[in-house]
This record gives sequence, structure tokens and C-alpha cells, in this order.
Amino acid sequence: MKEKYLGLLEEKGILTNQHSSSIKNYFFTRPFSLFQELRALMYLGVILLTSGLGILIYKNIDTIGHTALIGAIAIACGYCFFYAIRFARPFEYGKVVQINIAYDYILLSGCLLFLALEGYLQFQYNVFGDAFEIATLIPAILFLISAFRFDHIGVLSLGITSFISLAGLIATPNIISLIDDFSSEMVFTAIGVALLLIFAGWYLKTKNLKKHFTFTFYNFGFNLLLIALLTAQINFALPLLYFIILIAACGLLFRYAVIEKSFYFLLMSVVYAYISVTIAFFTWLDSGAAALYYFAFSCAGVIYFFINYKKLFKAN
Amino acid sequence: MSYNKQHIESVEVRKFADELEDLKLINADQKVQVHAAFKDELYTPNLFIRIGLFVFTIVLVLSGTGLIGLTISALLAEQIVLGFAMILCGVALIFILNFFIKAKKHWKSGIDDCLLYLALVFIISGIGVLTDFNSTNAIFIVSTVLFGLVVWKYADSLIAGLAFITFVCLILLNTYENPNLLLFVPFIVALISGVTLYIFNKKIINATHTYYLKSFQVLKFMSLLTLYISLNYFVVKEGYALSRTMDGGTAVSPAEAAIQNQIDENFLSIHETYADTTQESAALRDRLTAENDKLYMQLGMENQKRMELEDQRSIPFGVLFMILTAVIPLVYILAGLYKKDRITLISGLFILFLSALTFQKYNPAIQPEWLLTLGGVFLLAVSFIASRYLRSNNRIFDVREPSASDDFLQAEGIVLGTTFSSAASSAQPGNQFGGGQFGGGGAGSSF
Repeated sequence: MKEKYLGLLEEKGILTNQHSSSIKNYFFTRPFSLFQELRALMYLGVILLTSGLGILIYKNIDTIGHTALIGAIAIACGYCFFYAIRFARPFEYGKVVQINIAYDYILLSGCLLFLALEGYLQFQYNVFGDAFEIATLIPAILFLISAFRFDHIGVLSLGITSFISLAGLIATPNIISLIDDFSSEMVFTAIGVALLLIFAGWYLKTKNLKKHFTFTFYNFGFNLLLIALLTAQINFALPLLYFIILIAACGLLFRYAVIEKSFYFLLMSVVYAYISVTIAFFTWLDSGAAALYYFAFSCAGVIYFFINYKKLFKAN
Repeated sequence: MSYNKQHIESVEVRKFADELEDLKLINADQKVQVHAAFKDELYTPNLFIRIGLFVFTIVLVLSGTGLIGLTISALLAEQIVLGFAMILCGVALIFILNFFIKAKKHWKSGIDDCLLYLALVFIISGIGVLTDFNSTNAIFIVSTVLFGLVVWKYADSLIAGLAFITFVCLILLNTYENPNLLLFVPFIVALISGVTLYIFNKKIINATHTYYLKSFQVLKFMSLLTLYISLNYFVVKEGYALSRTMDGGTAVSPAEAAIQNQIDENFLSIHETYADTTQESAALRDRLTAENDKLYMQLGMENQKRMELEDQRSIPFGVLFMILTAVIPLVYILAGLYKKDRITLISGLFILFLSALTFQKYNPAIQPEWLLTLGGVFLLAVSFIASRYLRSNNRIFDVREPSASDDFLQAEGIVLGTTFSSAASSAQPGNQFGGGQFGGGGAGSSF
């Protein structure tokens, strides 16, 4: 296939004959890359080893003892953080590339081990008692600081999640679990936290401090905000108010998506807005055949929008 | 074929130029020249837009057909009319699909994939309704032919895979229930897979256009898998066992029959005790019920014993299948490395896992957790030693991170990282609904 393409390029006069044959030679003698395969084997090996060891420890916990296990986890966790601090590149407000690929994984393992350690201590010795706030506060602070110091987006996600848990919410963007047992307190807390996250993302972006973290902040923030608003629209008085706020939020998100060329946020804003409009439609109008007409025309509209949004945007 | 080959080739050449520029084999100027000479006329949106279009098209088509169905609902009560209406709907969707391809130049846009799949669903279920879902054979024959035609027309690799599966199912259906052929079913399927493997391999090597390439690669992969699966010890053994139970069921052992008889007799006696209300008959009833409970337990044990015996019963050519289960993965891996053929190599690695599971199943001495632990250590050791060794001897094999647009295996999801904006790619878009404690896992590495 490549030879044919090179021939086409020669025909068009873009490549000289000599250039094309040297490229051909490059592809012909290029070594066969095993990078992906070996990496996949490595991942698989880690997964198998950890789950195998997990079962082995679980079965032999009587002979090993909890203290020894907690000690081992603590040592491993401590080593991970020691490594992260020892070999960290100096702090910068931009992106920092660490010394090697393994570095990011070691830091992430350290954070996950810390969570495991904390959970273990709570489960076995009830260290925190009923003070779950402290149990979530510690990882939230630790992870957020580590994320900024060592420039790690995965750890940042962990930190934000702990932070949201701290605010009394589990930040799974799971509509069902929210609708199942919601309370106005919870919804307004979620909206508050979401606005805070969005503001944090916006602030980082405009002040040019760790600009690449904005996506993660916006991702959590907007998902939380829009789900909370949907819940409010369904369950609270004044649905029209929440509907308008939600559409406005989707508009903001859409604008950001177009500016940043982020198709993910584009899809997200359209889908949330569509769900909200659909809920509004069915609260005010309830009939079987009308539903079919509504879905047919609205979907056609959304498809038209997806195909032509570039043109529509340019026209404005 | 429906899509414009020329246009697809242009897109491919543009991608090739991008790769060349990535590798610094041409300069940016030349890339611009290539992009000017080969226009991208097809509509292929970003993956996320594609997903959105796909979902909204499904809802649109279903509500559209629902509306039509509502207006003629009186007619649809008749089964034949319903069947024909569904087929008609499918054909209409094909026409709409062709409009999008020809007039709107859609290619992998989400709309065209969706219309194609929905059309197939409508046509095949329409035929199912017409035949009353009585003939599995008819459905499979129609599906295979239909899928084949669709692959020829639209070169959809997913449908290519489905076509292969229905084809193999068709063979199985027609050989499996024949007692004369049953013994040879594994060899028949293996032979056919071998032939298709040879054909599709040739097709890939001699391909002059990417149009069908992906379909052929999927078909080759499927052939490799069926070749292995048809000869896998577990599959053959369970297949034979399944056909025995379908064949009127395995006979119960004499011991079981005797116990069952006793239970039935007791039940009759219990029944009789209800006739009079004396104390004695009540006592007898209790005694018999207790006895039956014990007998049921015995029956269960006998049953299990028979199952275990059956499990130990060797199958014809059992040793051969055992050896093949062990050898085929190694052959695939070695052949893949020798021929530098990624598909064979990947399928070899994949089925190595299946073989390990097979051996674990028939060797209770290997405990699963030890298999996991030792397997993990083995894999880590192999990958670590191999990358250490090959890093310094990389004339034939390379273990460094490749450029973003390498070979076929860089699945669309991976390529996404380069076509998508850098902000989004760094935050692993696949995880958006993951949430939870491990939401951020795996971030920060390059693809």
C-alpha cells in the first residue's frame, strides 16, 4: 500500500524518484515494533500478579497477620512517595515531563496504596471512627498537592474525587443514584461544589497556571453541575428556572468546546441540553403519538446541528 | 461498491503524508502540497460526534418507523404484512443510506454505520417474522448471504466479522446433529478455517486498495481464532458432551433409577395416607417424607458422581486435542514474529491465555490464584527481559515507542489521541463516566 501511495506522490511531482525510494527503503528496513505488545503483556502481568497475590493473601491472612500486611502496604506507599519526591523535576506552571514513563505510574500507585492503607486501617482498627470527613480530607489535600507539585492529571482526578466526597457527595455522574435518594441539600451542595470546580478551572486557564488541568476541572465540574440541575429540574418547584440555568450552562460549555475544539465537551453539552429539553417537553405535554413526532423531529434537528455546527458557528 | 474508492484513497494518502511528516521523512511544505493535491471530500467527523450522530440516528429511525407503524397499525396485525413491512423498511433505509453516501459523501460518519446496521436488523427480523422463527437454518443462510453482500458493497469490517460467525454457525448447525459427522466436526471447522485463513491472508498481501483491507484483516483474525477454538480441548469436550445431552440426554445410571423409583413409590404411599385421618397414617406420612428427603440427597450425590465420571471420560483423539491446545498458541506467536505479522502475533498472545485457562480447568492441582500469580510473574519477566534485550539489539524488532500513526493495530481509539485536541487527550476521554475512586487511573502516560 505504501509503495502505491509513494508512486502517487511521485506522479504528482511532490516527491523525487530518489526521495521516494529512500522512504521506501526506510519502511522496508524498519524494525518491526513490539512496543504495544510488550506493554500489553506488562499490563496483563501486573493485573494477574496483583489479583493472584490478593487472593493468596486473602486466603492466608491468618498466618500473615494484619499488622504485617499494613506494614508492607505502608512501606510500599512510603517508597512510592519517596521516589516521587526524590526524582521530581523542579516545579513549573506549565507541563512538566518527568524523568521516565514509570515515574507517573509509581506516583499513581503511591496514591492508590495510600487509599488502600487508609481503608485498611479504618476497617481493621477503626482509626477514624465516625469522622469520615477527616478520612476524606487527608487524601484530598495530599492528592491535590501531589497533583500540582508533580504535575499528574490522574492524581488530580483522585484529588478532585476525594474533594467532592468531602463535600458530602460521591461524584459518580450517575443520574439514577442521584434521583433515587436526593435531597435539596445534596443538590445545592453539588451545584456549589461544581461551580467552585468550574471557577478553579477557569482561574487556572486565565492565569496560565497549570492550564492543562482545566479540562479535568471542567469535566468534573460540568458533569456535576448539569446532573444536579437535571435533578433539580425534575424534582423541585420552579423547573423553568433550572431549565433556563441548565441551557445557559450548556451554552457556556458549548462555547468553550468550540473555542478549544473539544469534541467531547461538544457532545456533552448537546446531550445534556437535549435531555433537559426532552424532560421539559414531557412535563408540559403528555401524549403517545406526540412523543414519536417529538423524537423524530428533535433527533433530526440534533443531527442537522451536529453536521452543520461549524457553518452555523461561522455565520454568527 | 458504494463508497467512492478514489476519495477514500485520497484520505489514506493524506494520512500517509501526515505519518511521513511525523517521521521527518518529508517536510511540512511537502505535506501541504500533498494535502492540496489530494482533497478530503468525505464527511468523517470526530469520534465523539460520530457517537452522537449514531445514537440520535437510532432514535430518529425508530421513532420514524414507529410513526409509520402507528398509522398502519391495523394492517400490521397480520404476520405476513408485518414481515414484509419490516423488510420494506430495511430496504428503504438502504436507499437513504445510499443517498447519504452518494450525495452527502458520508464515510464512517455515524449516520451511515447506523443506517446500515438498522437496515440489516429490520430485514433479518422481517425474514424471521415471515418464517415464524421456525427455521434457524434459513435465518443463518439469509444472514450469511446478506452480510456477505453488505461487506462487498459497503466494506464494513464489523459486518465482515458477523458474516464469518454466521457462516461458521451454519456449518456447525448442519454437521453437529448428524451422528455420522459428529466425530469430525472439529476437523471440518478447522479445515474450513484453514482455507479461509489462507484465502484472506493472500487477499491482504495482494491488496491494492485499503477499501476491503480492514474487512480482510478482521476475517483473517476470525479465521485464526476459529482454527484454534475448533481444536481446543475444552471446546471439543464440552461440544461432544452437549451433543450427547441434546441427543435425548445421557442415560441415568441404574443406581439413580432405583433411587428415583423408590422416591416415586414413597410419593404414591404418601398420597394414599391422605385418604384417612388416623394417627398412624400421619406418622407414616412423616416417616416417608423424611425418607424421601434422604433419598433426594443420595440422588444428588449419585448424579454428581455420574457427572464427574462423564467429565473424566476421555474424548476421541483427546491427547491430540490436548497437544494442539498447547502448541497452536506458540505456533501463532512464533509465526507472527517470523513473518512480522501483527494479527497472527496478537491472536497467538490472546489464545495463549485461553490455553492456560483450559489446562487449569482439567488440572485441579493448579490452583487459580497460583496460576494468576505465576502467570503474572512469567509475563512480567518475559516482557521485561525482551524489552531489555531488544533495546540493545533492535535491528529486527523495535521496542521503543512508535510514532502515533503506525500500523493497523493503532485502533481508532488510540489514534484519537493524535487527531483530538491535546487538552482532551491528556485527560483520557474514555473515562468520562467512570467517576468513582479510580477515575483517573492510567492518565499521564502517552498512548
